[in-house]
Amino acid sequence: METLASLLHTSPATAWMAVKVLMAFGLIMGIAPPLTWAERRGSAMIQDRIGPNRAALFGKIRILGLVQALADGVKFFFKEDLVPPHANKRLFWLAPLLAFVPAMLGFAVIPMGRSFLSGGTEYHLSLLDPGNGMGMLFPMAVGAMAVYGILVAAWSSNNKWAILGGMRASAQMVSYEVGLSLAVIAIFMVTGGYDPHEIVKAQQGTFLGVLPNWYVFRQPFGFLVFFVCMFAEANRLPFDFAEGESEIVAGFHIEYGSMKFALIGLAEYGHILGASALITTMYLGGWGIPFVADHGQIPVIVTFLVFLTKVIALCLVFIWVRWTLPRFRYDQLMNLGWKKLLPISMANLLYFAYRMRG
Amino acid sequence: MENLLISLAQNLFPIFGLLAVGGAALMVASRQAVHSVLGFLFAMLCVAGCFLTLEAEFLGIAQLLVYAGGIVVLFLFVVMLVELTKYKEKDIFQKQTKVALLAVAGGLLVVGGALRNALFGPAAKEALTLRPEITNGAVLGNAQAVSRGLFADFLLPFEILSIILLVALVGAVVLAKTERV
Amino acid sequence: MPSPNAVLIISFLLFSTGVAGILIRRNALVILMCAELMLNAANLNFIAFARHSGSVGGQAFALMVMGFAAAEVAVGLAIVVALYRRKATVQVDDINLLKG
Repeated sequence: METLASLLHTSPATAWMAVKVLMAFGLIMGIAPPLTWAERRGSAMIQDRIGPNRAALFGKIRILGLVQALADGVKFFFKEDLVPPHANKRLFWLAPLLAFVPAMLGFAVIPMGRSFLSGGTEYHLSLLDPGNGMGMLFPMAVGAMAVYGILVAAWSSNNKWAILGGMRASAQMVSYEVGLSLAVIAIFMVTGGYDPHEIVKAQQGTFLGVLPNWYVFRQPFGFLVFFVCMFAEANRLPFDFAEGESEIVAGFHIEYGSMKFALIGLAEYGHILGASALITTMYLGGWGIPFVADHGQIPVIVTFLVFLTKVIALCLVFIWVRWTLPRFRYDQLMNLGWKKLLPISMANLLYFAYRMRG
Repeated sequence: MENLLISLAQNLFPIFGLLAVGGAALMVASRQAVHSVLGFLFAMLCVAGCFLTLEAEFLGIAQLLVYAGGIVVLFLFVVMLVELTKYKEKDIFQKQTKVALLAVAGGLLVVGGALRNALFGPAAKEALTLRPEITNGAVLGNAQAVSRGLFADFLLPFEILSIILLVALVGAVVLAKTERV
Repeated sequence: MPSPNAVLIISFLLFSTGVAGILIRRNALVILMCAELMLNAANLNFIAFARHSGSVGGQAFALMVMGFAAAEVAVGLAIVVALYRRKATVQVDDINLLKG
């Protein structure tokens, strides 16, 4: 770290910050395009089709259709950037940014690997160091911002379907936030803090002798609620009411094309990645290796790879669920959110509060 | 480059504060209600930034969660529900606008004059720092300190607040419900 | 850390903007938002002075103000929606049943 800092003529702290920002941004931007490929090929596999496999570099190199993602990117760049005549132009431009920025911001507090000592100072693999006072509340707060991208896109498009999608999305997001927060509070309570580093540390070792000491096993009902709510927050099937292709065509992004559409799409995959990272940190032990209580001797890169493996596995679960379950009806969505998930997470919270009585 | 960043970091409060005032001005002045709501959202985000620079991190996050995540979404929802007709207001301002603005400017002058000593006196240069001799060494701004205040010193107001929220919930449902015959 | 007068000036400007908005706008929704803005300006002072005096009371009270604001918005928006159902308008000037 010191050599890098001296090369860049900055202090080690600044250099490390730059490295972390590049790493987090590169992680999101590097995983999102392969995820689109995984989604198309995975859906084809689930539905017994072949999926896109015709695009080829130099007419030869196909790599299982992975080139298709590249071709899509090139196509987005060269499409005409169209603004519909009755749209509110400024907000129409603003909406993709409002969708994209919160999807990226949520990563700021997630620890992606073990903290390590170098030259007497401790370096952490999360953008914000522990003890910042915001902890896991920050991704929750930023995740709540995601709805503005959808709402502003819907309103500025001046289109009936878009408005319908936006209205559905706003009610859905606000409803599912409640159950989500209550499920998370049970974890904060048991951990005794809401710093992600503490939460990860609290999940090391074994539980009941045979299971990893993860919150998914210690609080299965909280996990259930959190997992379902994350699908709703990320606007994925079975809760993709903002899009609802078969009902309202494409919902809030019906009028979008070219790079603006690409930004909205990237934001969607950013949300999937963010949701996976959140679930990993809160319920699946973060960067911790299962059953290992002391990570002092394990190389940092191994913990990072463990974190990455968990996140990518969860992303694949998101895709798997999308092509397996049909979309809910709107009243079923509200029913599930308010009458089933909220009581479950309340009971979960009360149970763990009762167990903690002094 | 680093010096610029450091000087920016030292003046974050005025930057966030002025941006918040800008957002508020956009809210008051814009013709479309949706633009007003977005100005309000911007002002709320900047006020949350102000809280963070005052080292009240928990309050800053609560501001983000309650205002930006809840209240503004409700506002936007109602605006989209109510103003779908694209009904353009001819006059967005009241008839008494000039008098009202004069009165507000007069109020600014009067209060500014009354607070002149506090605002520009010798004590004004002193930075807003924690006074350790009053706090008995307790750390302020984090969730532990706030919760100690809420659940130990101000428990009764906190419980009353929960009842008020319940009443507001029921009242809102009753008010907004469609009347069935 | 900012100086107390910076906090006072900013919160004063925010509060005045809120007052001006309430006095000059016709849209009931914007008026509600201006009331929220004034509460926020007060919160800013609460937090600054809590920090200055070293007690948590100001921060706890700011948190309570947020709760009250949420209750106020819920009822206020419900009134606006009910009003829109009856009169198809949210302009405060059009609500003049008692004007004779």
